[in-house]
Amino acid sequence: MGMEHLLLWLVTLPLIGALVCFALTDELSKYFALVVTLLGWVLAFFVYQGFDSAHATQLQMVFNYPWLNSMGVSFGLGIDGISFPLVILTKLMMPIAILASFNEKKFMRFFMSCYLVLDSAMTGTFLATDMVLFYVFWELMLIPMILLIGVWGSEQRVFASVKFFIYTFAGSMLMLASIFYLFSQTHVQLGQYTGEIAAFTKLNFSPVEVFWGLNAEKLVFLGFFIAFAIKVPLFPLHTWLPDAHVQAPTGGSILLAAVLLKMGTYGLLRFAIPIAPNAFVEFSTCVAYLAIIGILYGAWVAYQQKDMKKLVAYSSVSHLGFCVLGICSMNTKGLTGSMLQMVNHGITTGALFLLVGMLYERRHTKKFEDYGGLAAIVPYFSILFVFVACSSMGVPGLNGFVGEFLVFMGAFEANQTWAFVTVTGVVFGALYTLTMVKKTLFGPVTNAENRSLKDVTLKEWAAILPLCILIVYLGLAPNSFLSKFNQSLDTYWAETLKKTALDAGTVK
Amino acid sequence: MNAIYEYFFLPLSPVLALVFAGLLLIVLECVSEEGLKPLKSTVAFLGPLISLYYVFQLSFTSGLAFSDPSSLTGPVWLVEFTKIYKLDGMTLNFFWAIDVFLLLTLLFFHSFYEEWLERNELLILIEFISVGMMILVSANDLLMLFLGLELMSLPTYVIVGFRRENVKSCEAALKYFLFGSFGTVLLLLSVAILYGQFGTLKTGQLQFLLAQTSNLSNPAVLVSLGLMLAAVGFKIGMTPFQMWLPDAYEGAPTSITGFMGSAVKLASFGLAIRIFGGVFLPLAEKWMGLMSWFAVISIFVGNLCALRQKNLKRLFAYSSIAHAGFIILGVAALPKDAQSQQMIYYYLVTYGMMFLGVFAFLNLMEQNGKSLEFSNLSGLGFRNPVLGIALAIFVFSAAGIPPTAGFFAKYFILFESVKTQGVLFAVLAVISSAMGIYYYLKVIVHLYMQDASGGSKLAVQSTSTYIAILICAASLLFFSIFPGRLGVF
Repeated sequence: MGMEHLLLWLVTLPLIGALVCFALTDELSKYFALVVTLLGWVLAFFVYQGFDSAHATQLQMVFNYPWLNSMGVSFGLGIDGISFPLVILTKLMMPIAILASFNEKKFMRFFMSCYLVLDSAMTGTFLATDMVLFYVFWELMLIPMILLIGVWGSEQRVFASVKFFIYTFAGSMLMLASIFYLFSQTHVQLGQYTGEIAAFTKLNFSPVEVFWGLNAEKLVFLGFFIAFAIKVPLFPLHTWLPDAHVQAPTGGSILLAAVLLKMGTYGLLRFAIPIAPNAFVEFSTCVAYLAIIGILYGAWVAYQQKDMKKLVAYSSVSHLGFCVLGICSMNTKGLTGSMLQMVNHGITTGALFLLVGMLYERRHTKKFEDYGGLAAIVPYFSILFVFVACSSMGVPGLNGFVGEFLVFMGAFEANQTWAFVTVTGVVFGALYTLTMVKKTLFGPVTNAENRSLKDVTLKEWAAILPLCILIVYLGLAPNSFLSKFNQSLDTYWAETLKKTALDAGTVK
Repeated sequence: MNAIYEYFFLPLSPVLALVFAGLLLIVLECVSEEGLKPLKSTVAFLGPLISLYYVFQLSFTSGLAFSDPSSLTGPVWLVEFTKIYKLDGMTLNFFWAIDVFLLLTLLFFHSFYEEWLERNELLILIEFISVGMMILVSANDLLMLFLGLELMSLPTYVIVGFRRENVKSCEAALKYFLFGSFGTVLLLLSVAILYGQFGTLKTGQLQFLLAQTSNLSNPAVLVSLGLMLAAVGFKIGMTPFQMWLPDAYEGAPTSITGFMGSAVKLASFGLAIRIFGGVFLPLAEKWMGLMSWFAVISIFVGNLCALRQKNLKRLFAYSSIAHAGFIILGVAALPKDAQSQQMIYYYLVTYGMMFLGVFAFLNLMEQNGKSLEFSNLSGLGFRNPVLGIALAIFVFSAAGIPPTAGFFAKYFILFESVKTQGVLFAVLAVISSAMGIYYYLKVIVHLYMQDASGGSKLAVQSTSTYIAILICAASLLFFSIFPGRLGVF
């Protein structure tokens, strides 16, 4: 098996698995899906081994198949330092999401097919080297996701699913308009139509203002930015997230938080910024303000929640704000912190949703008022919960700290006020997380039904343990993972801001 | 004799196969024995199959040499014939699509016309409609074009009103007939004005004459252009002329609506390509912008009206107006880029597959005694998993969500539009079509997310309907992964 086919298998294996799943019985299908996603782990391991960290800035293991020749669109897959950690994260979370869904009663094989299609689409989105292919995977992702939320969710599932779809789709349409403009420009400027992302970054824009004082570059940037800001989600566009998270089944919430949200930040790094760097430099302050508002607002709203899943959802808004802030700092520290925060948030929030899902499965409620004093009844669960909560708060020694700290350093370098304001966000973060822990685990047992609660089962251990190990590992030795791809982070700003008026000295 | 075979029978064989099948069916109709029924349907199937065989043969062998009549030695009438009948790559593509749509329609009719045993004339009519379509898309002469159009339209009016006892069906037929013939009259008037001005009906000559600068601002030519735009607008359901469409589509028997929305629409756009990509090509400056606006308005109006529909048939009728808008956008790109023809073709075929599939599904619902309301879809996705996924593919394709062919169809058209007319119309089209996503999503919501209990499974009485639906769904995925297989790239 050549290296170039490795990425193709990474994308197609789950897709084939989804078809097979559909033909199996309900009972068999979940084990089959688990096997397929574990094979994904194996493939991801090969990718991890085969990835050349000395050339992290270049696309590696490229698979290219000419697809629509006359339009210059190809079926191109490749991996570089930006997509590498996110692909690994995707593959890592898949079996965990599947394990978390083992007890579902409704239409199991269909459920598993949805997960596998989603796996394929998410991987493809990160790996695509062609704009059109990226868009295809980006949209394909929506179909299984709305089904996961809409079919297997809680009471308000249809509303949440439709809201999620309409938000994302509206963003996609704006992105599509930008893509079309860029596509027409490739012909004008490069002499041929091409969908290659690398070619898009070579385009220049005319400074003529089209309307409202916006020139073509800014419009293109806004098209991409709004699409990705919805996905992140950035402050005023975040309202779909709490609904989607609360209604989604546990596995769906895990993937939504761990992988789907990262697509927004990945998109910013991969498309919006390199393609329209001047516009980004101009808007970066505004984006940073939005991110800071998101951090504080998300944390404050999370503190007010009575529903566990909603709390975790709002905490995601807050944490993703850190990622965006790190990007807006426009320096290597901020970017590195942002990248680590993406991976760490994926692992930690995935684990939190998993734990909340365990409670929900046992008691069918996510309200704090129904719990309390669980520490005495389910000690192992409580230990895990406190442990993951610590990671979420950013306790030093665990993974959450590393990313947040680097983001702060980056923000401090860029603008000290930003750093000072955001620090309060961390205080809020501790506040809402500890409140959640207090209300569920400690105090007297207020609800008699909780006395017969079962502790963590073997299957649940299998799902949560890999995440716990990673939480410690990435907290203590982030560099062993970071060194695989940090070359592309180090050169990122110098590369992307070449075209801007900022001189190289200001960019660190 | 050889010349007659080579220049008459061979190029005409795809049409002739259908003509013979139709005639044979008429003869068989005289014998009303029960035992003949399998024979009749065999003949009906054989027509398009043989036609398809000749389409392939033509494309492999002498097909394209035919379009160059200069080397022709033969009887005078034969030379004259080659001037009114144009066989090029595009025509062959359209022939292929017409045959395939006819076959699929026959496949899912199979169960439908069993219920109408005494009405075998349906088969005859539909074969002749296809003959008309083929003549329409291959005409190189406006009179021939008109003949093809009428041969297509008249039997269509009849089959729309096929359920004579049903008021809606009769209303649909009447409306369709009145509006359709009004459109035909406009077309005829337009052709007459052109003939009065230039004394010829050959498209090539007309195109050449219109290109002379003195004719560009000739008021008679402009009137003719306006009339033609309206006439074609009526046929394809472009917005200011779309009023008849929802009623006709709703009233017609469901499986016939499928045929109307796929094959008849395809041929009507063949007409649009022949007229606007041919005769009126030199006047492009005059109609391109106008047509693009009509296209965008069609997309907007179609989607807006579809939002409020509760009946699925009506919903897809309105959505077909929006889709027509997209294809018109492709037609408007024709003068500046001939490649647009291929994009239109891709859109037409994939859209036709989608439409046929949806209406085969709706037909199945009707056979199961369910009305075509949203609520009757509830939970079907899980009671009939395979059919449910097929319908989901159709709907996602209609909405233009990858990885279905519908996305690429829209993408290609928008690509052409951007290439030829800048970003404005593409952006307007994208924004208007984003609105449509809501009602497509509503179908998915009912299919999968509503309470599944209480409904009953759809019983598939005839496997042929089932196969037709699966073919349509599979082709939508296949053509999205391999767009080149449609002879496009």
